[in-house]
Amino acid sequence: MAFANIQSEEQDHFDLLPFIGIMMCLLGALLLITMSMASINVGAGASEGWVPQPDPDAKIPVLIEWDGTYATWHSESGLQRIEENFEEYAKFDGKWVRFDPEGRAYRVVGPQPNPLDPLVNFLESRRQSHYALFAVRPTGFKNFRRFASRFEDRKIDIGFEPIEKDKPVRLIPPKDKKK
Amino acid sequence: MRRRRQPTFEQPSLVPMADMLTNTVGIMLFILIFASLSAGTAAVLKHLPREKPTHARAVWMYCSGGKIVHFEPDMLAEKLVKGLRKPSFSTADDWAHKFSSHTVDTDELQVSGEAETEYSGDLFQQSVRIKSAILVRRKPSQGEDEVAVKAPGSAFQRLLAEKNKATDFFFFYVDSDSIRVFRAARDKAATNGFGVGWTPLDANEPARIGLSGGGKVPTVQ
Repeated sequence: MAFANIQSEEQDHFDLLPFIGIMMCLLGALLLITMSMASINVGAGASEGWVPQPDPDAKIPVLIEWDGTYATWHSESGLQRIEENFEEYAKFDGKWVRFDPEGRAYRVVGPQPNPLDPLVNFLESRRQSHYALFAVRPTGFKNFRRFASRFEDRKIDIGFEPIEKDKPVRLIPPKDKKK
Repeated sequence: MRRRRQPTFEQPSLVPMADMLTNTVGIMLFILIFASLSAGTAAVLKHLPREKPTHARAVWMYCSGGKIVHFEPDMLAEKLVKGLRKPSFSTADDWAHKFSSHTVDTDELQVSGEAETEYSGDLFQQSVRIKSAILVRRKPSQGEDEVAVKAPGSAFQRLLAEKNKATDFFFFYVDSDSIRVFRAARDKAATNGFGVGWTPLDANEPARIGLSGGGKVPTVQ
């Protein structure tokens, strides 16, 4: 037993410090990569929250995302995704004409309800105080003007801002100031 | 022979140090996660756009392929009609055909004409109206990108310095692939006190400017 103790005391110690240093460097590098990826995907710049600048003449914006096919209405009751069918109705000499998405005209008995009617009616009834603020995705650039004309024809004020393809956007109402 | 005894070396334990480092790294990780998540919903205080009419004169910009160029429709239209006689009722169709087949090249732009005739009235009192427009395209590799727009002394910044914010406003035609350069230029113009407006274009679609009135009037937002 005494011989064994002497062997243990004389044994060279293996220095772990360089290995721990390498391990910490590796850990740091992994951490940096992970956090960079997380920041890009969920961090700053991954989404936009728009806060209106104070303006005495400003109307209340109603945010609508437009991607070329669907209008996403940010209503008080939540998001409503509505498909635009680009069908329009017009009255000529007392008779109704339907224009299909290609612009072909068909005589019809009367206008049919459109999925966008609730949104357009909502804004039309509040056009003195509200306006349509469109966040236009790149896929919606090609037919945005045609889509927006549905609102302009009803004398609803519009504004529009481009936004990247998958970037979430939301409107942050300014906090009410207590008098 | 008796082996010489080596002096005993008591190495301190590294476990507490490793423990401490690991704890520090863990805390940093948590802080970074919370910072990232809270920054993810960061609000951008901005002037929210709303179309308004303006009496200011438009300074025309075209953004495509991630680059921006300036153009002057009046000057380009003059070049396009150069050599064409003034149209009359009898020569309207011919004029429209020639105008549509004309192209003009500048250093940065390729410009073509587009015209069609519209007849109205009865057999004895007919009138003709020529609807014409110029189509502006950017030449490949011409124009300034997002970085160049922000750089002092760039063509865009020189243009900003030339124009008067009381009488001019900047109007942008924006292809779907050029959102970043548009935003950079728009923000720069707005910071310099200019009114700004824009309209979206489909990818590779030229900027179309009507010469015969009508159509949508450019607005500021």
